[in-house]
Amino acid sequence: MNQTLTSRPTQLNTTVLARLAERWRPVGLYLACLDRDGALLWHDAQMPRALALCLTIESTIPQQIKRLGEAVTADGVRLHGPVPWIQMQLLPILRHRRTTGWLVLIGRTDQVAVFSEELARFAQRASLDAQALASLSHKAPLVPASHFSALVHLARNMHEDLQAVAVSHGELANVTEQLTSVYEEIALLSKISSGMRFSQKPQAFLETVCREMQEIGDFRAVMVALARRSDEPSESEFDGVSVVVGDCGVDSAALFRALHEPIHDALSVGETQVHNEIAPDCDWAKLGDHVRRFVCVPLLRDHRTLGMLIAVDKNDTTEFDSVDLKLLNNVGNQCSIFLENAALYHDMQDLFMGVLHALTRSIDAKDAYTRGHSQRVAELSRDLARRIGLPEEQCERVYLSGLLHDIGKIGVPEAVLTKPGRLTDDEFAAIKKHPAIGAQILGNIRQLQDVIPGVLFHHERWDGHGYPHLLSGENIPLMGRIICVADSFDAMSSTRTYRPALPLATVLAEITRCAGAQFDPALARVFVTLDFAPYQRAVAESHMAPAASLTAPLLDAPGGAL
Amino acid sequence: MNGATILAVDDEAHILHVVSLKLKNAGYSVMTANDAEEALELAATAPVDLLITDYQMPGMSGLDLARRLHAEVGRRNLPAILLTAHGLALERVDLAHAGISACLFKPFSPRDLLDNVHRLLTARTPAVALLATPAPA
Repeated sequence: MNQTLTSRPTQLNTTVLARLAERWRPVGLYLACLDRDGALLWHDAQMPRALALCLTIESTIPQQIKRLGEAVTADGVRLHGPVPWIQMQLLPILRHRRTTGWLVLIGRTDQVAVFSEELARFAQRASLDAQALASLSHKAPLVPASHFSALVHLARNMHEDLQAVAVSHGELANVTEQLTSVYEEIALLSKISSGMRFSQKPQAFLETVCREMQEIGDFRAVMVALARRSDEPSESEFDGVSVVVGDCGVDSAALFRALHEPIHDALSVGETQVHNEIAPDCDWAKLGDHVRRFVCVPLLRDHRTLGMLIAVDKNDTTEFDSVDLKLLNNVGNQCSIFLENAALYHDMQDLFMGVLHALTRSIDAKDAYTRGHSQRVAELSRDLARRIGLPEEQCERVYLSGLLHDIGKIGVPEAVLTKPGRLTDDEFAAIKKHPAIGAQILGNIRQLQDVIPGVLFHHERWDGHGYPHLLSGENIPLMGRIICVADSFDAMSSTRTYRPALPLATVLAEITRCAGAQFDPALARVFVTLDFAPYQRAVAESHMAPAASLTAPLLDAPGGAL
Repeated sequence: MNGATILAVDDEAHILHVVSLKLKNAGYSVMTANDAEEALELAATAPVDLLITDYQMPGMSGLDLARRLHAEVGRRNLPAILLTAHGLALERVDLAHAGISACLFKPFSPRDLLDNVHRLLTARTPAVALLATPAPA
């Protein structure tokens, strides 16, 4: 940020000098600017030639300046010129109390001594005829010597004021530039926090964030490695580099390995570590010129390591400064918050699904023949939902509904469920209650309201002869119609006491035959085109486990599938 | 489209500074005004290729300013970007009526602003063509 001031001082001065020169010209004073060592940098283009010659011819100026050392007052000193009637006053240009250059005020303060030796020598050095030089000298306006020092004093003050204004302008530009980067940072942080969805995959979230950060900070590359989740909080291991944006010149995994030591340091300190200077013998220096500077930002939450954010080099090859660090730290913080919450969200999700699976398995376990049934129906239903183009979110709800469709069997006596042989009317009535019981059980769970239709209506038939509500056609909620096909398919494909599992072709033919009677004809048409290979693998797996008692309710497939 | 003149209006000096620095660095010439009245006066003195204005300002609002400028001869299609804060109820209809081409919410990203400026100035119809097209009723 200070570059604006340090890299363009002459440019800054020229503007100031040009304005100053313009004001002093009418009085007869002209301006020039020398660098610290006395070399001529700039002079008023309208300066009379005789005056300009004094500056260019007088080769002792640098020596005179050298002799001055730092012992110059703000009012300056008089320079010795080639002729006494032209006066040159040297004023220091100070920046941060140090002389960065010189201002020269030059003017003719006396009559030209036409026949003097000085003029002759001056003319000789300028390769001019003395007469011609005398007339050139006369063209420079005369400033009375008595006024000269007062005018110089005024000019000095005026220069200081103008310079102060220029510095303020420069500072304002710097502040504005810093403000711009603060704006970028605030905008990014606000975008991150408002767009944070913990259900989002960390990969996608981190990629967006890193890309934005790379652009704002003008970093060459930004990468994030996620810590392996372990119960041992002190031990932090990484699952490799998860996200890389930009190009760090070398393989990101190799770089991450080479940075092992600084990464470890950052973790043990628990704070961001900047490496603006690289020791020649360190591991990462061996990677060649690719990586010059980097910053390690540990992503921590309650002393637990969630990951490591690394920024590699700035595109303009400058050092990482405090603005960059603030950006990296703030965004790193947001990343930590995201990662922690995402982990909690997924834990909860896992727990939720785990409980549901346990629940449904316990129902399936009541009957050896229905082992794995709920799971298979859930998967088939989701396949069908996807195939008919339902949005993914809804497909997942169909899956849940399929998983829970028989939950109501918990309220049906086991003796009825597992009774070998034909059911009495009363027993069949008890069985027919399971969709309603299931709906009732789930009725108290707010988050599962939308899966109830699948549970309640999976025994309705397209022709209206199903149960419990004798709905028909499209009056049956779609979720119910989907699960109905999948449920019947699985029932027919499994072994029952009264018959072995039917071959796939037979089952599919049966589904097609019953389209429009038991099943929604459109759904049945799509269902038979599904890929059943995963299903058959799942069936094979569940039959590997030894079956308990081979008792099962006697049912009329397919319509009687429970 | 560099060299285009942009009129930036905001009563908050720091925003005006940031906007004008970002645009100047990108090669645009920028005129700044602290309120809508000053903006109208400036616009009367020079051609303007794009307007960037804050919505909520003392006196005339940014929307009214845009409306006023669009009502002027030859400025019917002047692209305009509105800067506003989240939470200020702005109807899409009002934005469309005032001829607002883009709306950025504070805190906005100066990069985003620049992208929008580039986009709008690249997409615009040359001023000559605008003058030649009779305004639809």
